[in-house]
Amino acid sequence: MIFKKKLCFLTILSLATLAIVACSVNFNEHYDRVETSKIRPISYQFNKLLSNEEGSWQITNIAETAPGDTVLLEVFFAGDGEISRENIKFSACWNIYTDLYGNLAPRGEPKPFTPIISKIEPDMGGKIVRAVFKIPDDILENSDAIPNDLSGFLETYQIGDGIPYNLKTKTDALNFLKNFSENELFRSQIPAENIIKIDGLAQIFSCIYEIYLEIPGIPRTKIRHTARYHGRLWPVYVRKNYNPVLSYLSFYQGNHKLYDDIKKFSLSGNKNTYVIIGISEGWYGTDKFYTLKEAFSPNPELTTEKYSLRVFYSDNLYGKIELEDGIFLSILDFPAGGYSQNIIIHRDKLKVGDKGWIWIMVYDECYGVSNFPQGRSIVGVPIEFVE
Amino acid sequence: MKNKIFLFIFLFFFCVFAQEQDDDIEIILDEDDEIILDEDGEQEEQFSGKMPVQIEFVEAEYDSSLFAQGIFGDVVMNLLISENGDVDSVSIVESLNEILDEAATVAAKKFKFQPAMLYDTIPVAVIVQYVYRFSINEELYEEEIISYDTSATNAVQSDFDNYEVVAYYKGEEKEVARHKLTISEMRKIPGLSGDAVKVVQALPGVARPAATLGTVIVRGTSTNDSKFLLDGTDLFLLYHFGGMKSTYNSEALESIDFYPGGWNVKYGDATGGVVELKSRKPRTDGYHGYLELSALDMSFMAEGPIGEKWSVLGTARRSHFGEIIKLAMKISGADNMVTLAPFYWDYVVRADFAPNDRHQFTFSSFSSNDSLAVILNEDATGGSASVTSGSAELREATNTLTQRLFFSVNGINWNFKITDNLQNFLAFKTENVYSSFGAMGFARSLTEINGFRYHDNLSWQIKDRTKINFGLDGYLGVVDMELDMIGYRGLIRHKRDDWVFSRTGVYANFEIKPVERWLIVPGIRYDYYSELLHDGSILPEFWDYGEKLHKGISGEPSFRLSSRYALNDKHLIKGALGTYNQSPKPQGQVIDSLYGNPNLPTTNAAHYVLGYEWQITDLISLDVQGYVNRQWNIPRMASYYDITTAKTVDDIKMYYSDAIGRSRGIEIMLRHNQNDRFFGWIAYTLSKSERKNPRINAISKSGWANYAYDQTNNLQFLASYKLPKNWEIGGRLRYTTGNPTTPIVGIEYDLTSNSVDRIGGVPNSERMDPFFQFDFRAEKKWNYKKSNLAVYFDIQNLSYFIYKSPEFILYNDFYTERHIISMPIIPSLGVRYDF
Repeated sequence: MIFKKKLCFLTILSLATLAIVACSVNFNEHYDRVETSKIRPISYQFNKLLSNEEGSWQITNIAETAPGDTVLLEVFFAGDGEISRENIKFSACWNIYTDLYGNLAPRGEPKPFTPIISKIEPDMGGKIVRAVFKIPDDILENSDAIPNDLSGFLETYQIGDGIPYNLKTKTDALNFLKNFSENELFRSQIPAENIIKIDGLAQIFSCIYEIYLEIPGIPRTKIRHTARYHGRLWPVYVRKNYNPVLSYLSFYQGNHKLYDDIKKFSLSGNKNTYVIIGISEGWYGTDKFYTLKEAFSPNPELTTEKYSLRVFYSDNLYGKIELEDGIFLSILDFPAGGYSQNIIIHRDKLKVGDKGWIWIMVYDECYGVSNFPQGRSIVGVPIEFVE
Repeated sequence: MKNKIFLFIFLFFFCVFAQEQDDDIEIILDEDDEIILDEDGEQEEQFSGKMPVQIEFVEAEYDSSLFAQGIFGDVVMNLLISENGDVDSVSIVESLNEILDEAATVAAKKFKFQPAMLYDTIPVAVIVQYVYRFSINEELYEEEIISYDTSATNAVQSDFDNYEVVAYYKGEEKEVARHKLTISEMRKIPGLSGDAVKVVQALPGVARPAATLGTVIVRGTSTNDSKFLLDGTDLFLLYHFGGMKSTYNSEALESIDFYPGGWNVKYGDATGGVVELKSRKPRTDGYHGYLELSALDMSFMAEGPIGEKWSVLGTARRSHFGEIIKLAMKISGADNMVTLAPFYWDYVVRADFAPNDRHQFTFSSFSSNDSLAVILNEDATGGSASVTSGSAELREATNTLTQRLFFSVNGINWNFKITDNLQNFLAFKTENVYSSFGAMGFARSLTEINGFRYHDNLSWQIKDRTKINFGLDGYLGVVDMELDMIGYRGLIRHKRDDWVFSRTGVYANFEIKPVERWLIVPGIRYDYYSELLHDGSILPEFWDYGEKLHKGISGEPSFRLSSRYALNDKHLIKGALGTYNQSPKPQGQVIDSLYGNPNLPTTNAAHYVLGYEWQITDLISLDVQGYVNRQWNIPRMASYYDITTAKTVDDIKMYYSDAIGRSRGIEIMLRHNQNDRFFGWIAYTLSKSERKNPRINAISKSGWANYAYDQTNNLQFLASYKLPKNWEIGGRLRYTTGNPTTPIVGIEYDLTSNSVDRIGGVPNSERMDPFFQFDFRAEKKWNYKKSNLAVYFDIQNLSYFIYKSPEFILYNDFYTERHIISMPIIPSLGVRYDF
């Protein structure tokens, strides 16, 4: 009963606070402003690896990590600073508990592990740490987030009714999923009308884990991801999640209602080549508008998937160019297949010779899916402004 | 230094305007001399007896030059008539002319009366309104002779300003820690925008709430730990929009009682404090009402008699601040981005029926509604993009945040004087609540509550010095709730039908006077909570007695004892101790089988109070109280610490009841009651309130941490003064120690959330800068024959120009910079027409 009153109160409080804050606060340091003299992490990407016949690893672009999978974790650090393979400490907590209020906390101390780390070299205005490691085989069995006694659990999620097996324990459910992924005969015994329940069951029997990176001089970095069986199950039954792809970046000049294409920059080429933009060009008003596009996922059939965009600016460009976003951009629908977003060039603040980096990150979310494993991509683009 | 200056100024004015009067404790006197019992069967707060009768009239001097100017009419005065019939003080209620006001005042001070008689036997001092009419005798007009006319209070039909007559009567106070406030004082307190209910926040023992929120933090306890009552039964919601304005129109109130601790067994299900609103009966001296337009809302009231035995009052309000915001956004072009549509309304209808001297019935209907919609328009969503995030199953209006809370309370109060020594009070009210919430496809809820509340009190005066009260109170509510929300596990659906909450409380207390000056009130109470599964204690607990004394039933006994001893007419010492309990709060949420912990026990507390009262003059009084409160079984939501340290997953709960609290302090209230021009008070609290739970115990050296609203010093000056020409001004000055904050000892990059997490140190171990605020109010009134018009201006936080008090701390994304958010100046302008 009082819960409602709290919601009312919190709503008003939030609005009032937003109104006050929006009018008065101007900090020097912002999350989307990268001080190029200080290196810091801003994004990551998980990739499931498949071994090929030659024994080497193949990158799949699948953001799924199932028990026993070997995965590639890429962490992008923007800015200048020393990071070497030798001074990175990896640790993980494979057992993250979540409650219904969204509280997440590790069960037990993080355990160090030693992944295979590739050589770290400057890239995209920063450095990328690439680490390969294996997800524990028993991560789901040992997860406290999945109760051993399933009474009430399946009922809560309205899943159990469609599964023609008596799933009483966590082991029952996980064995069922293992059999389903590996045994075709087993799969054929399941009535077709219940197959649709498999995706949901695999969602429920999933868990979250956290990877920590400790590098001298940099606060600890935490990355949270999901372990679930989707990557092992047949695509016909479940929907795997892939990392979104930023395929190319185009700059258009002109009125943002009437584009006049004069600049285009392909991300498939050399990402470290400066995009040259003339600040005196332009016909409409004081500002010129450029359009960034596109981001899309290779699995557009996943219709409920949403994309969010974050742009980071190096400090020498911060405030001089900016994404023209709505105040609630972070919860916008980002249609599969492409998206355009205007970039405002503040000509009054720029001067000839200004140059720096912008990093465009896109990540996906899927509300309504339990423990959705987030897919991500980031690209860095150097920009130089000329006459 | 600034604070010392303000203190000096206030003390100066306090002393200058202090005037001696005869009696001490103020009570409310009904004009029509009817006996009205409260739920204790007490008569001390209503008048039963004879009004004063004038036996000697003195003619006022009249300056004939005024006649030439056509100046004549009425001067309405408040006369304080002492027990011996003398007029002790005169205050002008409606001014006619400065010279005539003075002439009437001089004459009135020479009047003689037969004093008012309480219960027809006890002479008491009262304030009555008196009309001194300077009128032209038409027949003698040419001779310029002035005649006069007078009217006693109960014959004055144009008494539109102060319906209630304030009597300074030595009524017997039986509580140790009660602050009783009359509406005529409170509605003019600066900074409250005429909202009398908010005055509680200006009393000792109550922490300063954040910004304009309506939280009532009593002696270091949560708002949830305090009880808010309306005429004996619980009030579902005290404020519109969490603190904007009280849901019950102040104009329909008679008084507000505030019990910060140590109250008697009449009230259960609370461990912090009790705020009781008492509605007033409709006027019977004619038809009256008002219309008011303020910055927030419009309101009206109408009241009057229907025949000899009925009287009716009705009032309604509807906010318009939402429309003002909408218009401002349209003018600025911001409406392309967001549409805001907040509004509230409420109404009260009350009918009183008194068929004879023994029965009085009150029928009341009270409803309130808060609605809010925030709609994101095209510009807010980046042009072509649409807001369709959230769950498809929750997508009814994904670009809209909506909230609505409606409740309606209908009921009857019945006062029955069974015999001269036996009286009964019964209140029975039905309650209907409808609440809905939707957040852009992320959450949606619908809740409907149907129930009733009741309270019966039987008072039996066994002997002159012995009285016993028996009571029964409680509620029963059936909750039908649907809640769909997205959690980390995806879509969580939660539906619960026919969830029944109920509490039944029974109590008995004795009022014993071994000697005339000494009152002892021992009492016992038992509360049964049907929604709880815990084993209740078999003895009243002053601390946690352990499992051996907890058996079977989900109920808790209480024992409370209070005593007052008058050293002489001026000085009194008092003390109280008692045990208190309540259903764990927020009610329902914390014991929910999915989102809470159904096994939570009652939250318990023990109060210890010692106090001293000094009636310095007839109008000035000092109340000093020292208190120690302990709370245990305080519910708290599971934290990161609980999850990481639980030995097994079965030990992880959504809520725990292992938090304990302690608070102690000294409260001082120096109060000047209303006289002809001035009223005000100085309230000071020195206090310390702390909490302890396993996490705090693990990281704090002492094992304790400051409570989030622990304010060591809380000082408030409040004063209102009537100026000539119907001007009235007031000021309110507040100084409190800064609220505690938790230091940040480190950060961690959370790349998944694209954010930086702070690592906190010992909770609430640092403090913000002190808080200082000055509010100002001015009112100008124009009086007419049967009506008046008032314009008022209330400005909150005028001190913003010299000191920006910290309200919130806003950090940058890396917690390396911080910005203090201060409350801005909040002006409020209103106009009111009374008839």
